[in-house]
Amino acid sequence: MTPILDVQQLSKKYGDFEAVKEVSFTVEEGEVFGLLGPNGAGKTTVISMLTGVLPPSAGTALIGGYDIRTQMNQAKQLNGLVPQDLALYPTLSARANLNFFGQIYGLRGKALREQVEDVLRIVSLTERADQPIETFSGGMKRRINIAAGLVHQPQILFLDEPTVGVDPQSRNHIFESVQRLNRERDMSVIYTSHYMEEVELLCDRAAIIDEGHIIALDTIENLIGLLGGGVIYLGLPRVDAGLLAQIAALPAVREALPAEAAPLGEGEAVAQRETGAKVKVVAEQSQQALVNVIGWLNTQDIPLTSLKILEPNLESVFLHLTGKTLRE
Amino acid sequence: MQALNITSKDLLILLKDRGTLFQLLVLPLIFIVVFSGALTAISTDEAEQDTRIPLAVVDLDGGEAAQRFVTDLDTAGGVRVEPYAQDEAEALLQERKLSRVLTIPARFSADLDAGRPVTLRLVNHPDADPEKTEATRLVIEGVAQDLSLQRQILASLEQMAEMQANAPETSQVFTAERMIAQAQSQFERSRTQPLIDVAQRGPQRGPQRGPQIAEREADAFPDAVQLAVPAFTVLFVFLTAQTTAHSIYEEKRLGSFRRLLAAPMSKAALLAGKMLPNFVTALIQTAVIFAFGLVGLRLMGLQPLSLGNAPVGVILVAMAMALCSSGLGILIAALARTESQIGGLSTLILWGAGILGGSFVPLFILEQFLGSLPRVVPHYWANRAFENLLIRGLGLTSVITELGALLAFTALFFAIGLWRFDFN
Amino acid sequence: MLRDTLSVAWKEIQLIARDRGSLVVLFLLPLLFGVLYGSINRHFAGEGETLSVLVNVDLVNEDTGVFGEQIALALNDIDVLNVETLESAADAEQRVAEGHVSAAIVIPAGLTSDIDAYTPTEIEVIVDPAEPESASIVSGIMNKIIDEATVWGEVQYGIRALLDESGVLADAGAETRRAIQAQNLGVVMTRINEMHHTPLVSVVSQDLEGAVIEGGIELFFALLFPGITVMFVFFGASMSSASLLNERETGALRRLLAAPISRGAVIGGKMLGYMALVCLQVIVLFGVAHSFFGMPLGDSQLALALLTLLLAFVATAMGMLIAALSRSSKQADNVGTVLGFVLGGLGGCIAITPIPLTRTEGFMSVIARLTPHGHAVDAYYSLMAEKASLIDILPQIGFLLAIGALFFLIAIRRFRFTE
Repeated sequence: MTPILDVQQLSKKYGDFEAVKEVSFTVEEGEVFGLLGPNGAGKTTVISMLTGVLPPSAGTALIGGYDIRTQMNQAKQLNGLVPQDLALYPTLSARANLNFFGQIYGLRGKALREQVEDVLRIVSLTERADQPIETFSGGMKRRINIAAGLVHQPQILFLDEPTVGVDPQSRNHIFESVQRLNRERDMSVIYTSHYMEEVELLCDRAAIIDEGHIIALDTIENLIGLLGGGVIYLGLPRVDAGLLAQIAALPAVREALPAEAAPLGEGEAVAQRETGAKVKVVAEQSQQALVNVIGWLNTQDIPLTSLKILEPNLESVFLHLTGKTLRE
Repeated sequence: MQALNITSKDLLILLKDRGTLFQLLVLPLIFIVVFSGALTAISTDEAEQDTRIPLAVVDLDGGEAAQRFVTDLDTAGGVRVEPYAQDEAEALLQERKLSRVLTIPARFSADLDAGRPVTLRLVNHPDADPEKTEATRLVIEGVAQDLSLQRQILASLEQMAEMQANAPETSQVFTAERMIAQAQSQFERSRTQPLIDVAQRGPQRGPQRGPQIAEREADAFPDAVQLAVPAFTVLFVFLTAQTTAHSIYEEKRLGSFRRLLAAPMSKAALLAGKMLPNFVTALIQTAVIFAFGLVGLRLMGLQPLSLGNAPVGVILVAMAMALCSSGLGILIAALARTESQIGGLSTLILWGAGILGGSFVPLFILEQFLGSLPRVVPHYWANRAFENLLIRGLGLTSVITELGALLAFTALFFAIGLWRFDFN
Repeated sequence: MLRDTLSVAWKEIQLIARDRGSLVVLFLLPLLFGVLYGSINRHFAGEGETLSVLVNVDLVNEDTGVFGEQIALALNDIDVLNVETLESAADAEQRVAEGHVSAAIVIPAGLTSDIDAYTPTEIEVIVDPAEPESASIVSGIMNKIIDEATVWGEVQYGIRALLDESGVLADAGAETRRAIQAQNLGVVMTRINEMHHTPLVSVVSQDLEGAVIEGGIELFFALLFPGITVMFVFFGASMSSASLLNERETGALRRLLAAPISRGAVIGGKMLGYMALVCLQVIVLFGVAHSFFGMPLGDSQLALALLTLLLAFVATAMGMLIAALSRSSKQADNVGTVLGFVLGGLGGCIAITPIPLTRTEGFMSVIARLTPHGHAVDAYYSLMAEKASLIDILPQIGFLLAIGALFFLIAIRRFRFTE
């Protein structure tokens, strides 16, 4: 099956600065694909290039078979964009906004009317449709934002950080909408975020992007699986190959590797870094491995100078891969 | 005092806001310079040495009276005579190389001597400046009138002579030479010193007489630019009320009002506190604009603003005006439902009040036209106060009513504002 | 592309219609200015139905003789003056100083005796410095009034001088003297009569065709209203710049770019929407001027329409230029406002001269000719006051077209669609 989206070595350069470096990935039809990375990683730039807002410096992408470098207009008909900002006209009513964008996408007359009604229903805003958007609550603004991206029945929906600064109730509503759209209408979704829980929850596959390039790309399970059952960082006075081998042989331990330093987690300050050697223990099962390792160190009379455990989630994966957190 | 804290905070915010600073301080100056005709005033100074209006004159007569007329025309001031032949003048006029041509008809001197009326034609090109055309016509008329006077004196003597024709004693008095000589001498005298002169001057201020003002001179009279400075100051100081209203609205939007209310502060004190920054801002505005009037105008080669004879009065009026503007800001913030209302509706009201209150059209014209209507806006009282102090040079006592009115307006605005203000 | 442009234009119109505050500024404020200035000018031109100008003056007649009385009577007869007679010159002066009256006229005690003695004398006119216009009106009137007294005095003296010179009067008997006096009076009256009815030398001002030049306040309106309208048209158009930048700042522009619409249609549609606003402004303001003030609309409605469309184009192109060169919507707003006032003033939108500023002589007219405002006002005046045809205003049309195209091209090149 040809993928609905086929990104090939997409790059964006501003002068000397490479914002996006040869990004490649594919998205199958009906898939929910996540793009996870910290602020400034280049997620929005990738989306901008795919939606035609910015021209790529190099590389290309195929959307529904259309090459974005030569057939962007056709590709745009298939794209739907839900940007981070409200990006609509606050003094106009919800309906007026939807009518306008519907027209831009070529809808007219009866078709336009029906589409607008349909989309208002999907986001449950039919009652407030004729009131100016500036009177909407935060959650309602999010919903009209989604509606505007859907009015022309796109095949692939690009959601750019849709839940930043949103209250929990609206957040849930957004999740439900995405899932429903994907299930009921077979809509392909590209979901960018720096919140790992969302990507874990919603996406089938994800690419982790940092500083402009993709550092990991796989299904969610496999990505988390990079950490095995978890990762334990041990601070020891001295480390050598023999020690590492012995730790690696312990039950519930998958591997033991030397590490530069334990990566800083959220909220930890530089001052807390210890001197001495570090060992990174990749566990099959973190609790069991921890018990075994500490027990063994005791028997060897090796003191522990520091200890840090990374649970298996995407946040930890990111930390593990880059030494940085997602939320700088 | 709590209010002072709010003041300094608001002033700091304002100082960082380049856009608003520009509107407060620079825009009024631009207004004054552009709209009072200051630019015209400067540019006419730079014009050529001879500022007389050129006038092409075709003398078809050539007689003595005609020649005298032409010379008088040139020396009358305001007009510079350029003699031309008729054909040449007509051609050049058609091509717009000449703006206007005066033709002295062929029988000018003869007709005048005979006491018959003469008509001079001044032909103007349609593109010629009508103001200059009018001025030229007035000069020609003036000289013509002098000529008439001379003729009248002579004609009267001749008439008298006719009456005396049968009276032996007096008939030989009225000989031709005598009459002409007499008429001539009177005429000469009347040109240097008219029998009845009209002397225009400003009113006495204090023990000295007011300054003499010749009709052409304008030095002692304030010019349009000087009149514009206080008028536009009033307009822009009251426009500042919008800035106050915006700032209050912003405070409301940010929710900090509730925080302030939770602090030990009464509502009145809170609002008074919001008035204070505007008050200071308005005072600074006034000071800057007046400083421009004093110094800037002089640098531009124009007449500087006169601060009148009662500086204390000027300061008091400025303060009352600033206070009133702040009160107005509170009122606007209290009455506006949405932010955009502060922009649109209040803009109209403030500009409208400025027009009504004499910032664009002089008060005395407005009052003739609208009667007492202008009095309902505070601008009227501020403008009148400045008029008395700066232009008429009167003392503090002359503006007591105006000061009272401004303060009354302030109290009214504040009271309504306090009553209608929705602190949530 | 055309459809998209129209969709965008309709969106703009909806946005403008929601912006009540700006509409008030763009329509009501110029109406206010126009109606006020128009009414005042009409009033002073004496063509309103109501009373003419009234200048309040105080009159103090300290003269006990016939000339003082004559002048006082003449003054009271003048419609334009509202004369109140006072006893004390000091009081009158005080009233002028305090601004209660516009001027005070003081006829000195010895006026008549001085005139009789042929001694130069002086009438004082004390004027309120805050009313320079009134001062010139009063002076003009005074000069006319003393003409008569002057003639009287001069004629009288002339006759007496000759008689004295010959020594005839000294010997003459009482009856002779009386006769001479009567003749004297007769002569004076004749001369004055003649002075009024058949001035010896009159000056007639005319234009090339020989028609006498008349004023006509309607012509002035053809300058006043276009001036105000042009200025506010540019204000309206400058709103488009803040609006465009606002779209960029909120991300709406980005959403538009992700849609299958060309950049040209985005800008073009915005311009089209604002051009409609401009045309509406012109229609409303000119409509009021024509209906209530009798401002003429000229002979060529087509030229008027064409000029208005062109004006709309130039104004909106300038709006786009401001957007291209400004960093934020707030900055664009400020720049638009200032530019509107400055260019409006320089272009002669404030009618301080009786003909368009671009046609006067001097430095200011050169500057005015550099502004689109100046040429627009000039063209409107030609069409409406001078009944010009389209061909006559081709130079102005050319200038406007060129400068509009220039603004547009620079704007297109410089505008950044994404931040």
